[in-house]
Amino acid sequence: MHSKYTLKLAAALAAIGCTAAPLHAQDAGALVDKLIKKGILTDQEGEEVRADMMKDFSQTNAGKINLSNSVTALKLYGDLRMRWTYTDTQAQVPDGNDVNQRSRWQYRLRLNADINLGPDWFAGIQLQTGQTPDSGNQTFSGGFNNDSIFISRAYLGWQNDWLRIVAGKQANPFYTTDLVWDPDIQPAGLTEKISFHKMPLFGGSGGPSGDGKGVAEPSRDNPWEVSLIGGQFIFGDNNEFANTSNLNSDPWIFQEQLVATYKFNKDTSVTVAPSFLAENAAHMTGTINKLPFSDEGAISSGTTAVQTTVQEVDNVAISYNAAGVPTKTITPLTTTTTTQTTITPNNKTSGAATVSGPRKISATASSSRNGGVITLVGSKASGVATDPSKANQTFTSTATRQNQTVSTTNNVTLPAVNGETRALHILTAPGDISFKIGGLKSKLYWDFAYNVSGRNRFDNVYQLKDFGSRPYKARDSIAWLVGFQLGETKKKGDWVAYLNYRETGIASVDPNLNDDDSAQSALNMRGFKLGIGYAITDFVVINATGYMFWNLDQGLSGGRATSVGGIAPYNTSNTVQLDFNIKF
Amino acid sequence: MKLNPFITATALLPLMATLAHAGKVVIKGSDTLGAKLVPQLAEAFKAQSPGTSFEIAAEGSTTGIAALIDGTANIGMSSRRTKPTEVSEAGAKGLTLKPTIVAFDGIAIIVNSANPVKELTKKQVEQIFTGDITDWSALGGMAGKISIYTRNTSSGTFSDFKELAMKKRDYAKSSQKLAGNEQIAAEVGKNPSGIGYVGLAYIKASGVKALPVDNVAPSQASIRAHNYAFWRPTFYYTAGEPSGDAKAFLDFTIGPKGQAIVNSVGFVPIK
Repeated sequence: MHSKYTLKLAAALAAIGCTAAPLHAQDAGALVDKLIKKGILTDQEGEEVRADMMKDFSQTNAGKINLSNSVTALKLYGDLRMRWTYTDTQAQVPDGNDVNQRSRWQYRLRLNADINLGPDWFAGIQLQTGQTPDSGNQTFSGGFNNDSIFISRAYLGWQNDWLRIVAGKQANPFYTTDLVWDPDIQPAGLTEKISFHKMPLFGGSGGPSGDGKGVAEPSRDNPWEVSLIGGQFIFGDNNEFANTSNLNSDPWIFQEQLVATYKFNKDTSVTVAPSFLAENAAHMTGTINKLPFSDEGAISSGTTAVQTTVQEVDNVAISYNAAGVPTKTITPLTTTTTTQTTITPNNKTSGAATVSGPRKISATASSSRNGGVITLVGSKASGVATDPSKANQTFTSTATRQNQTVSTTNNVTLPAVNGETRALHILTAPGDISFKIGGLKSKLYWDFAYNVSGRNRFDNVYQLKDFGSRPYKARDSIAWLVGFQLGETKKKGDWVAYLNYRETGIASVDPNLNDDDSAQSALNMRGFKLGIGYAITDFVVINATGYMFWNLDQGLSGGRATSVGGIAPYNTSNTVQLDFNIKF
Repeated sequence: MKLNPFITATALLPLMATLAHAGKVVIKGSDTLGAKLVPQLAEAFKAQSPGTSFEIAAEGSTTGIAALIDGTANIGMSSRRTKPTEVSEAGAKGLTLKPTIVAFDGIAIIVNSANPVKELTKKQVEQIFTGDITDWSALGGMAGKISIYTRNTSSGTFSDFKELAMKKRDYAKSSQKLAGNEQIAAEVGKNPSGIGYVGLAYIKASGVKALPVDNVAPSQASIRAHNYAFWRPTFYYTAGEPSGDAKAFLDFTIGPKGQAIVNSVGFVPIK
């Protein structure tokens, strides 16, 4: 019910020729002021009209929300994703359980609040399902269990036209790809971004933006956009008073990046963003791949691939005795119906001082059970016939029979990793060339990472020098990616397709940070990521993504690379994801 | 839960009866109004109606409106309009918050009489008090660091000025906070580089001059006509139509005698 004042306002509006469009309290104030100025309403009548409208507004949902006076703008938004995912992995060192297949139904819910506190200060919060830092996915399981929600962002910051400082758990400010940083990770710490092109000195507008909505646009005449980004992230927390030296310093990540974009026109640009990322040496807990990144005690390389064959298959193995002299053993493990006939190493079998190059040993056996010939094949990437460093070890061999594979490997105790073990020093150089093809936004993009400390990591952290299958190679410290994207899914009817290829050396990047969907974050992998997406509406998008990865170096095993909790455990890793997303 | 207005009114009856007891008017809210104006109005009213007593608590507009909704005040003094949530809360209790404008208020920007600057824009006022502009030379004055004088943080005007003139931004770190209008006028009068804000009643203090903002000088006429940038209405809020001693006091406030006191205290009368 409207009061006489509201009716009076309606009459006044009619008198001045306004349409009968519905009025709301929040937008009627200026109109009431005008009517007062024109003498149509008195101040008191105007105030009572406002009170009437406020009363109507207060009965709406929006009117019941009470915001702090300090809030000048509040944006609430989020998204919900339903996903079916299928994963198929095969272990680097096969054993009886080397192939794993799994499908899951999952969802991810994210709720965001972006808060402006005047023109300069801001804060933000994000809540999401999933506790791990690189995934908000929650699997439907547990007999209708209810699920937890976690704080994935909590930050505050200050900004002017050209400087932005943010503290807390926040969105990753760096220009990057998922080769180095998983896009789901919200790093915690302090970040700074200096936008040189927005400085008055370089043609920017200068001065505070004043509208509380962020920094001002750069001058359109300047084709360059150049920014310097710094991040100091707290990767963990240890007790600084701990007696053990390796436990009394916190793990940190520091990264600095220069991002330069040159715009040829509004659709075409080139961006390059060299960066340096450093992680200090400290004890690490909590992350999935913490074992090879922390000060850890001695571990077993694992018992899943011990040279104990129990299946009904034939086995071939080369063992090194204490002097490093190899001897071969052919073992029919089943009934007498299987008979070994030959075994022929293609190179020197023993006694030679040096033997270079790969050695292959083949053996054939016949079996009355399948009525045919069974071929047993073993291979070794490198080695010498007499090699004391291989004393008491056995190299991997395989025997194929009736589609069964059995392998053997050594089971050793890996020494503790202490001291300056975690330190990483990675140079990265992502970039893109953006343009339009037939009206569709497209880009050719790339990334490159080189770990300056890669050799140390290979030799002493992953312990591949003493317990691995081969020595360090330069490509172990390198990761790279190149891809192409056509289209984007911003509004109804949009579609996108992309394909990228990457290679990730075992000592190149941090598997705690890289994309967990690409080969489950595993290193020493290469492969493709292929995706397509379509926007059914402005806010509903469907996606299909495939990941096909295989070993960068199949012969690389041993040490902490393929041990329990290793960082290169896979021979192959394939994943399919089907997503249904809704944004609100 | 939807409240039955009859049951609500019945439940509030004892409280209302207490408030109405012995001609006592309970007024809570804005310190802008409650510091000086309303006590003087109450004294004048008591002189006219000796049977009436007053309880005045000036602890901020929010407390006045809350007290009105709780039924612990007859009148809520406020230097701002109600918020939707306050109106909603009152509605849930079957109450309607009725505003009555009792006076207009204006905040004048003063500088030292010797300062050559003759006027400012709203944007410049914001930039000065937030510290974006720190030297008079940027405003056409003599070179010299600007000395900013403001009310202290407990003052309602301190926050009102932020809202009216500074887009709610923070004051410059260099600003000096003083207790009242007199102190600000005195400091600006002594300091050729000083700037501050005062109520309309203080613009004729010795050694200062009030600057026009966006070409409009602060005056009773410009504030009443709402032409001056930094003006605001001030209110008595009541729960529905006022009655009894509260109505009598409200009528007194907006009547000729009350408005004369409004004028004498430094506010702008509504008529």
